[in-house]
Amino acid sequence: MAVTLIGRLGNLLHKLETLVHRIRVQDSLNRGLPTLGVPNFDLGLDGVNSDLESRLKQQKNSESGSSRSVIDSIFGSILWGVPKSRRTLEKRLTRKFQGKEFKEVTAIKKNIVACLECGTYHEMHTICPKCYGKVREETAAMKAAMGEDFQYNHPRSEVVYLYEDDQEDRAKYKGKYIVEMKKPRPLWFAKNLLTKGHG
Amino acid sequence: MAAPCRKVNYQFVKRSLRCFEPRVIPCRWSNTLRNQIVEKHRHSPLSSTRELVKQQDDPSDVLVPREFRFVHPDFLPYPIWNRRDRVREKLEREDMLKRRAVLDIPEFYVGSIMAVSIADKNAPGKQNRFVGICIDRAGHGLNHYFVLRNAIDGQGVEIKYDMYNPLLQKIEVLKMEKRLDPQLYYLRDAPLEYSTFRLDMEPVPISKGAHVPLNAIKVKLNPRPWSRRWERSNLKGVEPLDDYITEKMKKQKQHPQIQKTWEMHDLMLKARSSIDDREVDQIMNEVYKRKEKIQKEKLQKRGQEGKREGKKAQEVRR
Amino acid sequence: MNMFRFPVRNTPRKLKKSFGVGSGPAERIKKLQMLVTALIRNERLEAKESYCLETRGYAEQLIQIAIRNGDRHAETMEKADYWLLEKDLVHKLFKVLVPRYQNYTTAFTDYHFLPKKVPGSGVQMGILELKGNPWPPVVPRQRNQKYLLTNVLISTAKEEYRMEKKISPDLKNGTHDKLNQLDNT
Repeated sequence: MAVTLIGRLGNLLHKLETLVHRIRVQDSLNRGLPTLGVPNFDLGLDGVNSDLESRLKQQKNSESGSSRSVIDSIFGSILWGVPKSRRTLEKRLTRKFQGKEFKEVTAIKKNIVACLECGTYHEMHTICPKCYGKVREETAAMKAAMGEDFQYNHPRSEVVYLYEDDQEDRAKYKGKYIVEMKKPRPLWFAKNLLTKGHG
Repeated sequence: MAAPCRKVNYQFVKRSLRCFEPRVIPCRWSNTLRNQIVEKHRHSPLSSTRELVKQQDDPSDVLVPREFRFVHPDFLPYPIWNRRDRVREKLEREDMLKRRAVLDIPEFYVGSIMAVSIADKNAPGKQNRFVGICIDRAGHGLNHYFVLRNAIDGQGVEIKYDMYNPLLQKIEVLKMEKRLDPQLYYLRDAPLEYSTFRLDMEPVPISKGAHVPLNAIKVKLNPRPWSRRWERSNLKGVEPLDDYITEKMKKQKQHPQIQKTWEMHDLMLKARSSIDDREVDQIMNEVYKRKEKIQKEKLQKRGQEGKREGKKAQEVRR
Repeated sequence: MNMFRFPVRNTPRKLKKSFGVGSGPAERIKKLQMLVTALIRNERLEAKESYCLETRGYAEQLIQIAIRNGDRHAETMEKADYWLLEKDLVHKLFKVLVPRYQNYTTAFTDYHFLPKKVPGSGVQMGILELKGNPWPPVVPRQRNQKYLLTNVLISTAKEEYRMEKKISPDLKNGTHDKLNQLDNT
């Protein structure tokens, strides 16, 4: 498709060039000015403007000095931005495949590390996806266990999630909103209920 | 903190190896002393000036009055948090206090009428005295300035004085008062009567502990054109501008890009453009203690001079 | 004393246009309101890195002013009302989060990097969570690194240095130390 576009543009440019050239020539002739620099190519005149052609020939025979017409100065000053040469396949492909989605796949990574818990590979600065998948599921289950309160009327005290094996600690959490989880505590979820972060 | 640092996972022994990593300071900050590094060295257990640092950082038993920071706005730290140079600020504060020990800089606000004498080699008496109303007061540290305005021979004149300019010889406050606006640049578009003050004005006395009086005057501006779009400035010390504004201007003022309602509650914008109150408290504390010290020294000096003169007089008598 | 307890950029990020919210400063704030509300409700937010790190600042500032001023302060109430689109969270902020973070000297949030999805758009996702949340931890249990070889070597080196310091008076004063030499000159 690009080829035809360029082809079309080329055609257009050629037509514009000939038109400009024709106007220049006509103007020069009308003013009785020399038409220096008029190449001997076909002006595409279809025989209708054969008069112009003959006049040109006449002019060419009597050339003397050059001077720029008004139109020449106008059209000569415009720089037409145009590709000089065809973009190579290599350049096109480089441009197409330089996004970050490709870098992710193609760049060599030297920071891949195995998770100590499950052994899945991940980059050093990221978290293990498999372990986090488990965490995500459990979190969803915990949120569901609280019910509508979680979304519409969040409790005004700290929330405590008690699993089936944590029932002895019930007395500790007086005054807090307790949510019963109807299953045993997962082995990988340590019993650090309500411990503060760094602080 | 300027450079974002990535927190590394539990995997590798990065923490213990950190001391062996060469600390590479990026080009951007090669000519500044980053506060993190300065504080690290200050508080290092190996430093010899640890006692001094403890003294300096100690919360004082002296209660600094709340108004102190409004009386001394030049001591406030540079508000742009990522371009602050605390060492430079500290050095500037030292210089400012030294200057204040020599020149008496009184308390004044925007709206106070002041007289400033500046050394001028070309003036008769080698001094140039100007009286005017303070229309603006800004700048941080040694760059603190104030602008005085007066009308002389029917011509409005504004002079900007750097507070710590060594050529300043005397700053007097003839009339201490506050106005409704923090800046009074609108006086340029008001009749000259509002900016005219007699050059031989007598000072209006004010008792020491009194509240600063508020002049709630409402200035009537001249008809447009103005030097600024005062209708967009929310001026309080100015009479309603409805007579001077067209419908189009009112509509333009209501445009969301002009109103910028989203900036009202923008927490990070405020955090980025202001310094923590606790830090300001610490600085004001330090300045207050130093100022007390300087005043004590001044009194001592005067006492000594008095004694000396007394001795001389005695000798003469003898 | 640094105001921010976590890395902060010099200029705010311009968040891109997305579903439901457009571009520009007004729309950006709307988006951040939604994100802050979600973080305060769920205590853990999984989103693009730029979204997470922008909300971090706002959430931390909101909690900071709530701690400093309390719930009787009109301006703070106004801000909490503005930033938390669901009003039951305003109660949570003052009654649950303020007592939780009252004595914190560190940041109130944590940010973790999620692995990039391959194949995908290459966008970096992350998790922003409030510290002290009841969910299972994102990072699995920390292991005791005390007995790793490098750490053993470093701890013995430290002990040796301490012993030498006790014996030699020069070391005690720290005069041999290069840092002190610089300070004294």
